[in-house]
Amino acid sequence: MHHAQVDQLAGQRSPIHSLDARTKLIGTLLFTGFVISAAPNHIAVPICYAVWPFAILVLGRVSFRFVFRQLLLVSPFVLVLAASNLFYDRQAVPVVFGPIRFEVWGGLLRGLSIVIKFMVTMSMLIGLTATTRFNDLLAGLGALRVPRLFVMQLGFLYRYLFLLVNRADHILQARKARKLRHLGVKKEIQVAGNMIGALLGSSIDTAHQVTLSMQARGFDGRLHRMHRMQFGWADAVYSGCLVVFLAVLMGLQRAI
Amino acid sequence: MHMANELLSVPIATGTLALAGGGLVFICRQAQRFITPSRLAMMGVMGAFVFAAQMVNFPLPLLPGTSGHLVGAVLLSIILGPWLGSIVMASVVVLQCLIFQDGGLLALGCNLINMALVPCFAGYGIYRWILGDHPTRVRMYVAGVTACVVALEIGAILVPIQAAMSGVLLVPFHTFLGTMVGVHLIIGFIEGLVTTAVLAYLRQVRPDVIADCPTGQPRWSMAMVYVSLLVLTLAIGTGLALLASEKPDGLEWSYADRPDQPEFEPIIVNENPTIASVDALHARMAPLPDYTIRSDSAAAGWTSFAAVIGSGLTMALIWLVGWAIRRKEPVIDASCTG
Amino acid sequence: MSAAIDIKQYSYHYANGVEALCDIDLTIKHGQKVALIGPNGAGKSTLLLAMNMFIEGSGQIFVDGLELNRCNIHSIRKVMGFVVQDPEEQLFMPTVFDDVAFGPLNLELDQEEIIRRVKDTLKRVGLEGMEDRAPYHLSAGQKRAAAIATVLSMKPKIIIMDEPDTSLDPRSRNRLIELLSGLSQTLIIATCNMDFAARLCDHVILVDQGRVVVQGAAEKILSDGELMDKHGLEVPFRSRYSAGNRPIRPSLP
Ligand SMILES: Nc1ncnc2c1ncn2[C@@H]1O[C@H](COP(=O)(O)OP(=O)(O)OP(=O)(O)O)[C@@H](O)[C@H]1O
Ligand SMILES: [Mg+2]
Repeated sequence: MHHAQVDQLAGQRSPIHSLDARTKLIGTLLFTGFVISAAPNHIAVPICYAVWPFAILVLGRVSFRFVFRQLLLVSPFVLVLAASNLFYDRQAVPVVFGPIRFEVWGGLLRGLSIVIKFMVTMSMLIGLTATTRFNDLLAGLGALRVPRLFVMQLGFLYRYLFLLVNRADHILQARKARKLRHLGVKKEIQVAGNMIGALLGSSIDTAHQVTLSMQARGFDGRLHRMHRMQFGWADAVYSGCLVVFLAVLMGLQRAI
Repeated sequence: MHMANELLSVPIATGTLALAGGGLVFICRQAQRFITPSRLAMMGVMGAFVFAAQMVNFPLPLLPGTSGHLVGAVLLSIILGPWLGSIVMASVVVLQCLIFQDGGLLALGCNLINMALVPCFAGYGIYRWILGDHPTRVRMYVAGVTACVVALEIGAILVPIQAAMSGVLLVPFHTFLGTMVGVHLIIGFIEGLVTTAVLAYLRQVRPDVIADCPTGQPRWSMAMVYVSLLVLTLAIGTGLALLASEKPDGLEWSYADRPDQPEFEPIIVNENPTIASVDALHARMAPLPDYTIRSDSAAAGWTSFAAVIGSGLTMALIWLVGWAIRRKEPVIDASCTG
Repeated sequence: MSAAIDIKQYSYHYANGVEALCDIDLTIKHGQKVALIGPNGAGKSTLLLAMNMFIEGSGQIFVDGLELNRCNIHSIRKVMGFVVQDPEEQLFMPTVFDDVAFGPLNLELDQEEIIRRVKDTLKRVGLEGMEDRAPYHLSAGQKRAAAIATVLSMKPKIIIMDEPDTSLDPRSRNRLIELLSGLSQTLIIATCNMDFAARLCDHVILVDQGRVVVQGAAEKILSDGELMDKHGLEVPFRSRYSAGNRPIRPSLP
């Protein structure tokens, strides 16, 4: 399962892993903003932006096979929309790339630009989650003044994801073992409804037990939080480098 | 459908992010008033349940080879009420973004609005409205299906609107809108069927769960339902009208002429003042102004050439450094495990 | 000195009409390690819920001399820790640290004290250095230890556990027994495993069909083969060896 892999990657040790979650989170947001504000028909600049996520992924020890598989998995919607640009701008546009000079459709440039930007920002996002343990990310969100209730909710969700996904797996295996042919739409949906209902029932029981355990430990609905976050010099270095990098690329874009 | 960063402009992305964030903070404040240990536990487990339920897929009718699954927004708000339901759904969307990379980080605002906040409240309002004061079984099913179709449809309509306001895509607005509406009619209907199948199961096995929204929660009066539906319809209606009014292709306003770029050939001149002002905002807010397609001067070509080659070399260097560091310890290849 | 737990004439039936507890009368002294034994469906879990006032029946329950009621339940839960059966449900926070700190945070202690308590407790249960692990990355035995740590960190006087020995291999069970016998708190443990009860507890309460059948010293009750058979239980394996008056191999009925 993908979340288990992300969890495993995030549990490694590396210079990137040791950065503060807030630094990486804000860095990723800023970076994404810069990438998508590059002109809609530029190819070269988005390619240059790829240097940063590449560095994060290499130093953060995220395998590229994992990244590419994930990119392929999430790209269909964007690919279709990017490709559709081809139909709406067939004007030939001259493109100069060093010694090479050719003409392509404007729509192709735009579509390609979208796809490249997508790859770059998504790699950056993978670079964030695959190098930050989820609870650090939560602590970061908490420190960034995201409401406690929401942070708590995310933590709960993530924790029980592992349990319930396993349960769903078992239920699905049971269905596979017993369902040997296609049952027809009505029956299929009914079966799915029953499976989901059963899953829901057991989730509710789990929630009930969790409630007991929370109350037994003195929880009364008020959410307390501990602060365990600190910026280090590494965060300053990272932020400094990112700012310089973005500034250089901004200069580059102006020059082109 | 998860919105991607690349289909949005910076002002739209940050604007929706601020809007969704503000909305979420408001909802959390409201919810904090009636949160109890049992509701908190229920919310957390329900969020994980949505992911687990999404794994249960089933073949779609009419479209052989494809399979559908539950989205869950309406089911959540029927079980937990719209306030807690929307918090749970929002957490699901955030996790989908962070862990599963469905939708970009900067597009999170749009996704929160389209997939969590709007469907939960709209779906719940419609469900309650149709269910009325004397819920029967048939009414419950009709309410469930209608709520799912409408809730998903509203969320789907917002996607092309946001894309159009960003002006990155060249796809004409009405084409995009038509496709989204059509696809989500099917998805919404399936969602409705599964939701009612689950409701039917619960009605039989655990009637306590769907009896009513938990006590202590601000109940939606009928007036409030009507008002919010009206506001929603108005908002979407005006959006549609503004965008699709005079010119069918009025959305390609990123092509509109710019006084600062005389060489930019206007393909369609758009006189719509709203669009022009959004465009101006876009130009102002973006860290870099839009550039033209026709920058074919040799110097620029060489610069970009050098930049790409330079980037490639930098990456090679980084790879070497990484390799040198990594050589000492084995790397975990996550794609081989699990 | 008042008893740790004193229950008088307590009865409870579930909404579906099942009479789960019926005229329960029992006393547990401070420092005792008590096994609550009985067949499946006897009402052990229900009795534990009643002690924590998660259900409200008729009759009286005194904890540490105070009668349980809605007003003092919060202060009583501070002296009484409750570990639910499944650690998956006891460990609900993203990390072991957060989970063990959850109780102390609700006691509104200051940060240093909380961190110290978490460290001490984790050391005590043998989970040193696992603060930042996620619960789903622990083995069954470690999960059990962490679940106990979440309650120990609140420094309760009484600890209540529902079947803490399930799904543990012999070695983890031995570790658990070691850990629990080292505690000075009053322990009340519901279990179906007589061997576990015999090795850990000095006192036994036998319930069946919602009633207390007998309570008293562990050796006496657990070695009474006839009584145990009658209630669908068995004489613990180890005491059969030591008693020497029964065959090592259980005789077939
Ligand atoms: N939530 C409930 N609603 C209705 N009846 C219940 C509920 N929980 C338990 N019961 C019934 O109450 C009786 C006592 O159940 P309890 O769970 O206390 O038994 P137990 O001794 O803990 O059994 P086990 O060893 O299986 O855990 C049983 O007959 C059971 O069917
Ligand atoms: Mg039990």
